[in-house]
Amino acid sequence: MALVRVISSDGAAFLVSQRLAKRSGKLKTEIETFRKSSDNSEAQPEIRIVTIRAEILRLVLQWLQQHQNDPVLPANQNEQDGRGDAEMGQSQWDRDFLAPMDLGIVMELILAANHLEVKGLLDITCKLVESKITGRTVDEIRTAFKLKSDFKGNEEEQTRLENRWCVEN
Amino acid sequence: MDSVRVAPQLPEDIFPLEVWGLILDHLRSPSDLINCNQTCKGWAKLLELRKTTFLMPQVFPLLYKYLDQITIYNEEDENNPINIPVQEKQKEYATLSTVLQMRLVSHSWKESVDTFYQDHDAVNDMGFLNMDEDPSEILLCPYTFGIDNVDKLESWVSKDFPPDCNPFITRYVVYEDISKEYEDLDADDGEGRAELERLQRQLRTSFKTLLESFGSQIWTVHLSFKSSYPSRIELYRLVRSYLILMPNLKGMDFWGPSDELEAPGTSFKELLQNEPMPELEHLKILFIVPITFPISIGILSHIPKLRKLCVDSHDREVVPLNSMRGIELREMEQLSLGPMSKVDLSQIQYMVWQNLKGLLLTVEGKQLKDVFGAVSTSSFSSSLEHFILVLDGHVHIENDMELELEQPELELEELPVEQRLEQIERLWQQWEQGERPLEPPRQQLQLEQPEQQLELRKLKKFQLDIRIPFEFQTIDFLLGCPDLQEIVLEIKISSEEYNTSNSVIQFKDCIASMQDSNIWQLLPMLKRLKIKTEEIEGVVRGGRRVFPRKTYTFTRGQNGKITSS
Repeated sequence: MALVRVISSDGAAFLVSQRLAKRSGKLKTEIETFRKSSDNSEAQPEIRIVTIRAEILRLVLQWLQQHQNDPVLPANQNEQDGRGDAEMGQSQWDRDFLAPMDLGIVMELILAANHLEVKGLLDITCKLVESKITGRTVDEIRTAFKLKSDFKGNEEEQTRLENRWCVEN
Repeated sequence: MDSVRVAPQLPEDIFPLEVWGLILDHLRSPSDLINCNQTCKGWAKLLELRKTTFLMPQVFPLLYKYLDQITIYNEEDENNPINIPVQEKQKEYATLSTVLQMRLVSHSWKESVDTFYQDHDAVNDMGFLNMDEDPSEILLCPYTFGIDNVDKLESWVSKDFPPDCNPFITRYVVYEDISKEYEDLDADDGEGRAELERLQRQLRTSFKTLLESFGSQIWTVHLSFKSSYPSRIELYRLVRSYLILMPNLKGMDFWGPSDELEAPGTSFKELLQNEPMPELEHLKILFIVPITFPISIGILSHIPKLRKLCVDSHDREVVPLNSMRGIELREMEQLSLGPMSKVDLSQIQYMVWQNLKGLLLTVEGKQLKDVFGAVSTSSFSSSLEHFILVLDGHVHIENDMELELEQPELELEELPVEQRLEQIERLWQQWEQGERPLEPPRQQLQLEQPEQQLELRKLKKFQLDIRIPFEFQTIDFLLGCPDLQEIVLEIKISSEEYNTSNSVIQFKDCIASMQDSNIWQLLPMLKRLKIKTEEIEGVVRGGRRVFPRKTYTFTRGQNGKITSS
């Protein structure tokens, strides 16, 4: 089985099958570039991902492994409406996978899925974050995201005025 | 899946994590915090509680597509009486209420939302130099919602908002002097005309009132003047009065009237001197349609930092470039010029654009031989890195429908090139004047080759998009560009055979096998060659004529090997 070594920003190396790795658009391109430039067809590619730390990279690879037999969603799937078929692609496994995660980790996963071009994972993570924002009050959002208001002076009141103007017009 | 630690040196080997925590507490920049978060597990743990804050600037551009959406389709049949097929364009907007709610969560979330809408790529980086494949026009189209229509001005200006408020979340304002509610008024009728003028006066007054309070908050403006103006001077003064009140403009999309305005006469020089346009020191992107004299000169003369300029015309009329002669735009990096006449092409050499790096030129196909000469002798010939040339055969006719006219049939083979072109031009004129058969005649125009080379010593990327039945038999004109790294050709091909023995670059007979062409030796820096072909004659399939297309991509690897895909 052909393998590829994927190294995270904090130096952890993951040895995965090329078949699995190629389900990420980014890793697929990197592997093909390596093949084209290498004289030795047996050489094992090594790909360093400088923007994703080990904990997150492990989660992405775990998700890819679970979905390795799914049809690959092209990066421009549903490009016109700008989003993928999150509801269609979300399984019970996905829900269990995301359930214990802190929203900070989910946001890191969004960035990782986007960077590695894993459309299915991007869809379900964005949809999760969206569900924690849409239809909620400001206080509910702050609680869900463990955020404190960091507005200074009358900044919050001014923002309310700006918002009101938009809504009224 | 095995995990092996390959970098044993950890930050906690240097300081205890508590010390790192104190240091990280002082970091404010989201990009610094993101970098630290990715550095090691210990730092990621220390930053855990701040992630939902500092990650939002990067997450929001991905997330906004998933927020509740309103889908706006193009107008349906009742507004489309000439049955132009409705394009499946959809525009998605994050629901206003959700976005506004996010602005209230925290200062950093507000900044994430505002920065996304205000500094969107469409405003700051139109992708001209970086665009990958298809030549397209530069567009100034930032996302906007909420306040985007001055029809609502009356209610805005009547409200009492603090002056330091920014009412434009996108900092983008659209001003059009004719709105739909005015369309029913008959300008030829005395009463209708008077009412129209009254409404327009009211609109201008309200817009000025708004600008007086909040003009400095606007970063991008779309100004569209469609109605008739008594003179160019009056329009100049109106535009000037608006621009004075928007000193922080970064981008402007200016649409002048399509009607012919009364010539400014001899007083325009005094006008430009005595009532100059304000200096717009932040303006970096300008889109002008069409060149409206003297407004265009007035604006262009006072934007020293302009970096991107697009000049187009109404209804594919040629752009009168000579009106820009003498204006120095020394910082301009990217330029798109709409349909060019032969006369205007010759004006390019008088333009002072010596830092220009990207150029998109749209020309009528028959002017091709003039293009290479004009560009090669221009002030930017030594700086240009990316050149996109579009050979267009499109014209606008009734009802704003855009039709592509095939080149008329003509017995051309025996005529010298110049005479062929004259014949073609005459036929075009006859065609446009209505002296034409029901079906447009079909025959490709074939020229042996451009007579002049393109001499651009720093050119790295060349794109050619041929939209008319015009077949290249040689690309020898590229031999004057020794630094070329990438070539993208969208060309038409026919089954006719030509004598290409005089060509230096092996091209016409080996498009499908360009990996074996000598182009890789003749252009030693070339890394990628992409050729999209479309057959001119086409083939009949299922009772319809189709024009088969193919794409060939050739890449030079690090080992020098040329591969095709």
